Amino acid sequence: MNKIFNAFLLKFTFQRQLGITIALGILVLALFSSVVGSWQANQRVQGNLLEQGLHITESLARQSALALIYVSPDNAAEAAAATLDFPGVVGVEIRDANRRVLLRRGNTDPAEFPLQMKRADGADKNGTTNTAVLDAESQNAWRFVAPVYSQPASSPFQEEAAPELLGTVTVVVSKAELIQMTTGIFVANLTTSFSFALLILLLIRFLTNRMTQPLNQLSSIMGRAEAGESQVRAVLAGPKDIANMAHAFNSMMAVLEERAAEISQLNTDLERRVAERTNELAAANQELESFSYSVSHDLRTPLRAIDGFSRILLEDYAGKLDDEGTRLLNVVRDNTSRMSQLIDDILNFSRTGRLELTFSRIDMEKLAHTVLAELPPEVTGGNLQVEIEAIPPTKGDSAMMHQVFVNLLSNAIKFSRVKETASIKVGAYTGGGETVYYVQDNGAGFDMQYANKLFGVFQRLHGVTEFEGTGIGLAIVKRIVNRHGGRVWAEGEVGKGATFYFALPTPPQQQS
Amino acid sequence: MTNNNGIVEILLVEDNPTDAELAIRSLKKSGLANNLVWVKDGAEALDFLFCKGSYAGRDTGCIPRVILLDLRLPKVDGMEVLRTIKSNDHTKHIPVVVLTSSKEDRDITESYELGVNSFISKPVEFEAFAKTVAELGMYWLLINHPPVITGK
Repeated sequence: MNKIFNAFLLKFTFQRQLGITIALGILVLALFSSVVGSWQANQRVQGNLLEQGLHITESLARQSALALIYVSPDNAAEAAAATLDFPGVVGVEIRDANRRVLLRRGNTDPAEFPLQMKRADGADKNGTTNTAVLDAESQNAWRFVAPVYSQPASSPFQEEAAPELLGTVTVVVSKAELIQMTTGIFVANLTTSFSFALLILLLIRFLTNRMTQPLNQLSSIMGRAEAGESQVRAVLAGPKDIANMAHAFNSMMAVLEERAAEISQLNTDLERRVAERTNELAAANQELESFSYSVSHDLRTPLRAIDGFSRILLEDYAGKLDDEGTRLLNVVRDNTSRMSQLIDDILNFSRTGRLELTFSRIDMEKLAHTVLAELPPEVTGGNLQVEIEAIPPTKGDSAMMHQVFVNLLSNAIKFSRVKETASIKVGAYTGGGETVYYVQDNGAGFDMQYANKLFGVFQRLHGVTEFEGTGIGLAIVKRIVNRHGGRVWAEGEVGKGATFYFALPTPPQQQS
Repeated sequence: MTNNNGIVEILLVEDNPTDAELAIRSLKKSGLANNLVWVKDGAEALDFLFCKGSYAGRDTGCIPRVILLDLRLPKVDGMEVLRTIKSNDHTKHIPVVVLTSSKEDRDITESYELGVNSFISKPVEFEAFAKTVAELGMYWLLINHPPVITGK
């Protein structure tokens, strides 16, 4: 039932739902009011007819007294004919006290009324009533019975004698008129109700049309707007609430179009600005590249001259230089060598920022072993223990990742030389969508308050005489890891060692 | 700059006099600088090779055994000189060694694309520089066999 109701609510249009509901309602109402109306009329008319029937029967009884006294049917004929003239009266019968029929006109035969007759209230078994009673009733007729008494003498001299029962009269009144009238009223009521219902339905149809048509128009316009048509506006027609809705739709469309225009404008601006910035960046990059090219070519030449001519001085004028002169010239040469290293490092650093990354799968464990094997003997010499754990692979530029391990491993070895046995460990752990690789040593370590300085360009925490190097290695590591979308950090303690971490995004297929 | 017999073994193209002096000194120490010509820019190098300009009277058939070429040169730069040498039938057989301060990948790649025979990055440290120059002089003049050029 619920299902059918839901289907009704969903499948039909609002207009049809309303029409069907109201039509059903009016139909039920029309039927009900017709039935009630005709029933009421029936009751009233029936009452009248019964009363009339009783009067007629009593009147006949009075007029039949003489005929019964004289046992003369002719005496009663006139009265019977007059009675039969009343509308609805179909039969008259007069019987004497012994229930012999004195006169019968029309149809009073119980056989003509095949349906069961019933005793009406008020007629006792002995028929000892003074007035007419409704003796019996069938579906089509009523039967009235009245006793006929002898007329009492109206002489004041004579003692009043008890009236004598002379016989009975029976009058049969047809219900045809009642039934006809009731049916007529019922049909008229029904016709009126149906006409009225039809009228109301037409009116509702007109009203719902007036309401749903602008709604349908609005929805088709909304459909067009949804399909991407611009400058779509609804017509402000129809009932007030629909017009309000159309107005709201129009305002919304105006606002939406304004927004779209703003967004489009912003987009254009943004694209223009991106293009500008890209050009600026490209120009800056170009400038940087030619700068580093110049550095690469031109800064080395004077250095070579300083070094070369110092050397020539030492070779050709050795006899004229004392020990201090020789030492001073060697200081000059040491510094040119250091300057040369700095130039190489800064160019390397610049290159790691410029080179395009080529991503591929990298077996980090294998890479760590390879790098360790490739480090020159002067780095790996001495008492050195390196443990490389099973570490997960990553995705990245293999040449750059190679450089990361070179820098971290050579750093670890360099700073562990202070210990009798340098112990270095390469490990990794995963979590939070990234894989963290680390290189741990038991070397000189560092003070955590300088931890943020470690990865800066040319930042050093130790003197040149203590540990060689320019301070570019960790800056290169940081730049490479950052370019891979990762991050670097370090932990350490003076005299106990340091751990350098770099975290890279875990490749998607490795994430569980 | 040529010596009396007109034979040229090494053509040094170098604009920086100190680098040139250091190179020549190193070659001299190995006894390889007897037939060396030093030109100071790309234009002069091309004039020398094709006997034009101030070298108009030179014998075109006399070509160097090896050319030591710097890349950063005034007037005509080293790459252009290399391109001209390698695209000319008369000079394309001459071994060219780029001897430069640069270690830039693009210089190396471009040089080889143009047909350079060797690319040497000059070490800043003098001992290494002297050793490198002496070794490459030795290699190209004594060890390497050049093709037999039949000059016109």
